[in-house]
Amino acid sequence: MQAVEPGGVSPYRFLLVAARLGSVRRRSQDVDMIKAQRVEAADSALIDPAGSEWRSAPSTRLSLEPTPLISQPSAYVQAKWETIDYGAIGNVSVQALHNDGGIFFRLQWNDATENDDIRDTDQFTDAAAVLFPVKEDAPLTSMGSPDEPVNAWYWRPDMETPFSVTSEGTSTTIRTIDPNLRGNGAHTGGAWAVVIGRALQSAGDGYVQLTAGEEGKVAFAVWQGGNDERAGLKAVTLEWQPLELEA
Amino acid sequence: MPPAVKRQLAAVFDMNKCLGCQTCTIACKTLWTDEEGMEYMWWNIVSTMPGKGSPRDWQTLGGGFPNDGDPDPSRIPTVNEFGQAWEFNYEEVFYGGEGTNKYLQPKQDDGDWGALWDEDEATGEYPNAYFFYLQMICMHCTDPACLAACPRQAIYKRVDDGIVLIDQERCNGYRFCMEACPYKRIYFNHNAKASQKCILCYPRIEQGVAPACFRQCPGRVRFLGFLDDEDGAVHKLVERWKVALPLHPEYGTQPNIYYVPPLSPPMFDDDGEVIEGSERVPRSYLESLFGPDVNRVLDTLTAEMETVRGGGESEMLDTLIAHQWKSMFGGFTKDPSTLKRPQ
Repeated sequence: MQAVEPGGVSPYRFLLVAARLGSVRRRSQDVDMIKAQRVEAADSALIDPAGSEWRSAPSTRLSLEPTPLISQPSAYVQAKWETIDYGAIGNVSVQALHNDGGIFFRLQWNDATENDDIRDTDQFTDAAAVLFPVKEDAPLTSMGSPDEPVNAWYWRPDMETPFSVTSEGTSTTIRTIDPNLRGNGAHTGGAWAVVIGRALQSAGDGYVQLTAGEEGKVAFAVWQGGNDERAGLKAVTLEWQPLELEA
Repeated sequence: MPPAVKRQLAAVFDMNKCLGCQTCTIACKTLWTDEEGMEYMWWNIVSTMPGKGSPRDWQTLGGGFPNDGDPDPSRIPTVNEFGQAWEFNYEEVFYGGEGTNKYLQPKQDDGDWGALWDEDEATGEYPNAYFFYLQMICMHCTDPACLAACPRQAIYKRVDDGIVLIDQERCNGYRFCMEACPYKRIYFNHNAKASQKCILCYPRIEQGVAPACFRQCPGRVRFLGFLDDEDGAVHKLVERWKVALPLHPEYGTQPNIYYVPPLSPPMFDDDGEVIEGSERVPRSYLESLFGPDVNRVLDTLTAEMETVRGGGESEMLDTLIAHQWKSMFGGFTKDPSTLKRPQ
């Protein structure tokens, strides 16, 4: 499973380009505004990935890249995966809607193998996550820092509800149950469609707070369970995407 | 860099005394792994050797630091390789009125492997066939490969006694530890979705009680103590007399379970006569388990036995015999029934 298509941009090359550009933000295929339209719809309609509201919601296709091997926080993981491709999911289509009470992200990606449960010790599930900076300049590649944490909503098909994951840097993630966080996924026709939603505001240590009419940032990750992807072995958007919540 | 500890608890298993009764296995099972999601777990297991062990063929799977400290990529054993926990048709045979025409058998397909599938299967030809027992728990390594592999630092080595534990709160069930452990002593709990293994009965240790598998062993196989406790049996056997060896030292994790290697009965010739000086268990096989040092140890034990047979005394053999069970546990001899059970 070659994750980087021929002629595609390797994570290293991309980082190099990003470094050359300094802090100048490019408006290109690598960074796309995710607009969360405001709709009059119940949470129960929006949490359904097949719900009618999603048919007319704008969709942004984001390319994903494997996380850099050197950023994997264990020598074992680096040694094992040096010769194995990971980050097998090449892109994800993202939609976002909010109803002033909650915000919902619908992620869709092609995946021929449905890994929806851990049926044996050597099996891993597919998974997806939406990541937010809790402080504006939180670094993405390291999953935040002690001063600038990040908050992820991590969905897995074998779990009733997604986890809220807070992180202050590599290896520091903590999973908590946020009663305001919900998820719903379906695998049909060789693709996953997953909705992850939460109240715009949710009280919790390290939880991101969102407000209608304001802008923020968001990033996405997808794990291919059939390729034993878990932890830092994943496909990600290597840059924050700007997020706008319609007033 | 191995994690620093103040003291290291260690064990010596005297393979020459093991009956293969699995009392240790059941002592552990009933105490720690009798809950849902843990059915297939055997934190302690006694394998017949030469044999495939548990999980099947674990010695061929890699892991550890066999090459100058570099981690060796391995893989996660499957439930079938560990051995499924079969359910049997007890109701049908014992209570269903079918006892005369149904026989006791697993309800599901038993596949071609179980946790003790090759138990008591000997190697070689009668009358020179042989086997012995290998007692396995977590090795509580000085340089644990599991600890180094975990990307979440969910595994830690206790500073006061060197016991290696998986923090169940931090464990996310990624299972890199199961790959990295060269002894393949880590299991995955399908209910808790977390990795679990032998904890050396640390709640007992903290109250001065030896682990269940040590204390319940009817053969007095298992010695416990701090490696630096010069009065303890473990220190004497490992450091002073050097008759207990780590299993597969080439794996590079510096395990803290030491083994007194098995002595051999002699071989018989075609006429059924004892071949003097012969050994049924090939030294080469024992070297493959314990390294070349095993030759010195077996020669030392043999010489010591000769001394005693000749009327002499041997503190080493008296220690191994363990005339008093309390001499075996390095002071961890409190009676567990006198302690208050945690609620």
